This record gives sequence, C-alpha cells and structure tokens, in this order.
Amino acid sequence: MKVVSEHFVPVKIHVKEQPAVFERFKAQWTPTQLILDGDGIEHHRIEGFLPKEDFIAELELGLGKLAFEQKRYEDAANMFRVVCDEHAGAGAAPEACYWAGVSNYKGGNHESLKETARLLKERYGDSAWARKASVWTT
Amino acid sequence: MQVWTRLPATRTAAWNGSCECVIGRAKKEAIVSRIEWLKDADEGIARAHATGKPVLLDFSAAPM
Repeated sequence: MKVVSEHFVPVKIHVKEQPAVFERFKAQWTPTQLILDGDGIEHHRIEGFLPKEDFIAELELGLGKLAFEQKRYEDAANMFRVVCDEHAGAGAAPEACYWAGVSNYKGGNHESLKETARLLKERYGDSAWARKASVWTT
Repeated sequence: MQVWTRLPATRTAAWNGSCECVIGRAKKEAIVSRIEWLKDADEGIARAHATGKPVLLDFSAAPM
C-alpha cells in the first residue's frame, strides 16, 4: 500500500509474539494501528477492521492530526482537506472536515469556522461533527 | 479485492494486491507483502526520529 510505504515507518507487532508490546501501547484489540511520532508519542489510533478506502482516509486523518499537534497548521489543513474532499464517503471525512476548518482558523482564516459549519451541515448533517460545529454558526 | 473482503485477517496482503489465498477449507498460503514491516517498535521509533516520518504501529493477530 503506497500510502504506508511513502509516509510511514511501518512496524507490525503480532499478539502472540510480543504481548508485552500490546501492554506497553495499551492495545486492546486487533487490528489496532497507532501513528506515533519520532519520540514515540501517539497521535492517532485506529481500532477494528476498516474497508480499504476508510482505512486510507484514517491514515491520512492521522497524518493531519500529527501535523496539527506539531502546530504545522497549513500542512494539517491540506491533509484534512484531502480526506474531507477526496474521501468524502469515508467514515473519517466529517472529522477531517471539522479539523480542516480548525486548522485554517489557527492559520489565520477567521471565516473558516463558519464555512466549515455550513459544509458539515450540508454534507454530514446527522454527524456528531456537524453538531460540534453548529456553535460556529451563531 | 474479493479475497480481502472475505478474509479480513489477510488485510496486509490485500493492501498490496498480493494475496494468493485459497478460500474455504483449503489452506491459505503465500501471503506476501511488499511493505517491509519492522518487528521492533523501538527500532521503528528510532527510524522515525531519524527520518521525520511517523511510525505506523500495526497490532495484528493475522498470520505474519
């Protein structure tokens, strides 16, 4: 999978071979994937099986979260926007749209929250992320 | 992809389109991955530190 090889250092831990590593990272179930930075700090967690498109979208969401938490807001906004727009049918899309708006806001675009709230209401009106963003319309 | 949907445990192989699994009662074999997975979390973190790429740490119960 290209996204894995290009963007990550891939590490696989088998439950029977390395149970202590499961304990160390508090993995409760398989499959679980964590995105860690170079200090070993967790930035995103995916638990349970996902269809391919959803899984790729989750990986990209995780890359966005990593950039966001490192205060690279422009990079984060671009990564979240990819999930929001190019994986619009994926489960991660509403969350990605939300964080794209927040990243743009943190990057200085103060209109982005209202725009994001409108987009979420239009596309994902029943989602928790649309409800979270609803406060931005007032 | 059909194999993947019927055998989610072989996802790694399906990621690469390289699974040669046999469905049903017959044996499942030749799960070949083009992703070069490390098996040491600390080595992965050290490489992430050196390269700037994040670690994807995959906890699995599927055949390796």
